[in-house]
Amino acid sequence: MSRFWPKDPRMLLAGALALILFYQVVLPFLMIVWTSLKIERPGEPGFLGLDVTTFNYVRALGDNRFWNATWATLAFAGVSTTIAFALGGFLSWSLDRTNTPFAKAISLLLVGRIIVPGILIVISWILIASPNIGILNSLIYNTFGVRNFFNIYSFWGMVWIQSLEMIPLTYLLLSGANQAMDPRLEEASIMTGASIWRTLRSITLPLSWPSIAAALLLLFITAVESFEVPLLIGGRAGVHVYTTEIYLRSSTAPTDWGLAATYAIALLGFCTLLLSIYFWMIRHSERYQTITGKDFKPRRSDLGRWKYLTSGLSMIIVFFITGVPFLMMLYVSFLSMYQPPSAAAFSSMSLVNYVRLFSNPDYALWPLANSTLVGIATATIVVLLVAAISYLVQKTQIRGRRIFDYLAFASIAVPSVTLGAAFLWFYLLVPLPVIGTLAIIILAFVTKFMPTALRFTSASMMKVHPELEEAAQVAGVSTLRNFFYIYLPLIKAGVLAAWFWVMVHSFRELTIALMLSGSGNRTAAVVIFDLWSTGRFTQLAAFGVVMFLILIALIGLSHLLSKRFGVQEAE
Amino acid sequence: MLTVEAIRKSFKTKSETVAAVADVSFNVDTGRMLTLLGPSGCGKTSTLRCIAGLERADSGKIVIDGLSLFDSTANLFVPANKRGMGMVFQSYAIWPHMSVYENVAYALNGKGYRSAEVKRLTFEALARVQLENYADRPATRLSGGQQQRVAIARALAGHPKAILFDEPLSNLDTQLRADMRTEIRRLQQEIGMTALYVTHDQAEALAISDHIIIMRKGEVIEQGGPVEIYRRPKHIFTASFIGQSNLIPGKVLSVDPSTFIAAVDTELGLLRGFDTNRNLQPGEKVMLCIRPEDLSMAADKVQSENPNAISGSVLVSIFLGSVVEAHLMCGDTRIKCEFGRYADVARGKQLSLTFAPEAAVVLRAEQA
Repeated sequence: MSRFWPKDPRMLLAGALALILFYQVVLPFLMIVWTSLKIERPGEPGFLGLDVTTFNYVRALGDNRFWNATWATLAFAGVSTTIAFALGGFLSWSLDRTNTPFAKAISLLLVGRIIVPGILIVISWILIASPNIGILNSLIYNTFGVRNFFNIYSFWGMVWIQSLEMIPLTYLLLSGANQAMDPRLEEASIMTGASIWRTLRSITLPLSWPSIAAALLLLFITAVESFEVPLLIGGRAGVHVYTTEIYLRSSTAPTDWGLAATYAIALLGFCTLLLSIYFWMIRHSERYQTITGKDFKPRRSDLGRWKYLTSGLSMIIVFFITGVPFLMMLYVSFLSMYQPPSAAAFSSMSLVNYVRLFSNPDYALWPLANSTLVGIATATIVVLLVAAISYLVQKTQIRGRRIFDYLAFASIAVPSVTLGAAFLWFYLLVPLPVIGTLAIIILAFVTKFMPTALRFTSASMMKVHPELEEAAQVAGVSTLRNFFYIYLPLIKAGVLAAWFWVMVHSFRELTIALMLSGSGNRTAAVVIFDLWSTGRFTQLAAFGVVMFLILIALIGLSHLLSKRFGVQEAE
Repeated sequence: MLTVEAIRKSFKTKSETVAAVADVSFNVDTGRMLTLLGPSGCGKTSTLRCIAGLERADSGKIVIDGLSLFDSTANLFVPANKRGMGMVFQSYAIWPHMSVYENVAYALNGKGYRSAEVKRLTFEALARVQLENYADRPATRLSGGQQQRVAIARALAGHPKAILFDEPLSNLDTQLRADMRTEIRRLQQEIGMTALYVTHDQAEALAISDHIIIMRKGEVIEQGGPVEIYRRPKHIFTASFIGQSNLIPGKVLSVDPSTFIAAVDTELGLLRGFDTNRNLQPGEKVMLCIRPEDLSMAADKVQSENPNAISGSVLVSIFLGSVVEAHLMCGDTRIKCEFGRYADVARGKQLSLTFAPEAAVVLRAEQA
């Protein structure tokens, strides 16, 4: 008996984790590859037969639609990245590196936008600038007599929304780059008599170049993987990208799973390539870090009177990003019938949408409860997994432990649509009754959110000095007790941050939830899509406002908790 | 000459405003090295950064060679890049994407020098720090000490009116730190540069300065030459912060009006020391400060009439190479002393110590 039962509980943990990661990451990936090589569909007889074919690839590559989608994906991602980077770069510079007034409040509003589900943003811009129902268009028609001045259903409409969506991320990435650089390097330049511009040109930009390039790459990947904008706008605009092609072929009739799988493989390959370059660049940039792991407070330059201009411009950009969707949702949510603002519109306002929404539990309460349940379950599972993984990888000497890191991190390269398709097909094959339940969504979310959560706990775990565990070991404490009593409390901050991050993101994630949804497992984001498809804009807006409020409460709670725990640790 | 007059600087935190520098004034004479010395958070670095122009003081006046750099009453603030000073940072701040040569030449480019002149001045500066053979090396492939030399060469290259050193040696290991401080002192005297040096290391301050300013909580506690500061501190903080001191509490009995030798009643008996402030009154609570190296073994125990006698038993003694350090228990008071390396001070041995009244200083005890 004892021969099969390893003495070291860490080996047991490693074994369990290996099985979990294989099941959650490797098998779904193999599923995609296998489906792309088969004519039969998952679950059909003969699907597991060994007669593979390149039929799907030949079909895809021989079809103009594939090449159009490739071109559209590149163009859409490229242009959106450029605009998002230009505006986000400006914001990062004026809010973090100058004495622009109200910088803190503006950046809070900017970053706060990240929690809002992307689909709400897209819908609010459609309500503003759609040729038929857009408020802005009807205002322009009433004032200048020009019909359909804006058309959101166009390539540029897509680019506009996608850029606005990515600006908060741009800002966060560049803020990180700012904090990684020692401000003394710039001060040293100033002290030699160099001007602010020469310092920017000769010191700041060359030193930040690796992180700037990395940020550009990550933005590009985000745009390539984006789903909400292409789904809601791309169809009418005639712009079809990889993600929508995969969704349409796998989830709407007539389905063509073989072809969807080849698109998924193409998307996956592309993202993997870009991410490899990204990590290669990140590694390269560490060479420039004189003191690693230390956060610097960036130096702010005095802009004199220009600071009012930068403040004004930043406010306008942030108004477009955060203010417009929120005000739009709020306004529409009080209307009984969707219409542009007017005296009549304002006098007809009522709470009828909220009442209607909550009188039918299928439309608000159940989905919100589902989302909450999915969020809590996913966050808890993910956090336990990544804490164990970062412990194994960083604090034990088990051979091959790096593999855990790679496996858990690998799904960062898997776009949501690909992941959704993989899990759907996988459970058509695996005889577990999870399709159409919350369980399948949770399982897919676990794989989806593991990489980012792993970064939170890894960073915390790295700061725990190994001597702390050694001290406990010498004192005769068991390994298991060590993990629970030494490591978990010490990485509490990282674990808490990871938990909330996963919770909030599973609340807003639409793609996977939509692909795996049935009648009994609809999450909040999916309900928004349903309300949208059936044209119930006013109820949708009310639901959006409720979701805003829940997410704000969640963030507030996380701040409160981290503050509380932070204080406890300081004492 | 660099003149600093009544500089104040406070920082706002979330809940309160903290005065980092509260009314600091001093002069640095041309060609001299002045050190701001104090524990962390005493405002020394903030003072330096105000002089550099990297921070803007709330009020006060800064003048170099008759040229006003900052004057709060005239609302004058010359930006850091127009002040013509050199600065050496604690983290070296060597630009990692440039070679050694480029790092130094950067300070000269864009100032109207011809390229041949830039090259000559750069190599001159590199030669000063013995790095002329490293010109082409990438800055990242230098040791900490070499990086600090590059930083010094860069600060020197433009022939600044003054050089500011912000704890330049605290990232180096002990041996290198001692070598570098000698190097900096040699360079400073050789070139005759006006320098302001900030450190928390008292040994470094003593070694390197012409003049030392002791700071605490944003205020100047006292100032003077290294020898004066070490031998005749006027403030109890200085006596305990610089070097090692035995502080023996007591009460003034009397002060001799001509020699300013004070008689102090302590729990070790009547002891005499010098009143550096020359204003002590009988009855005042004081500390008698005596340095370990100023205590010597009394010839024999019979000298009971000598008022500066302390006796006790050796608690512990350690051999330090050049000296032997021993701790004596004299009643409840622990006294640290140093003897020559051949001294026989085994644990438990009874010792009788004495010191010259001029070697000890008597300082007013601080109000708690």
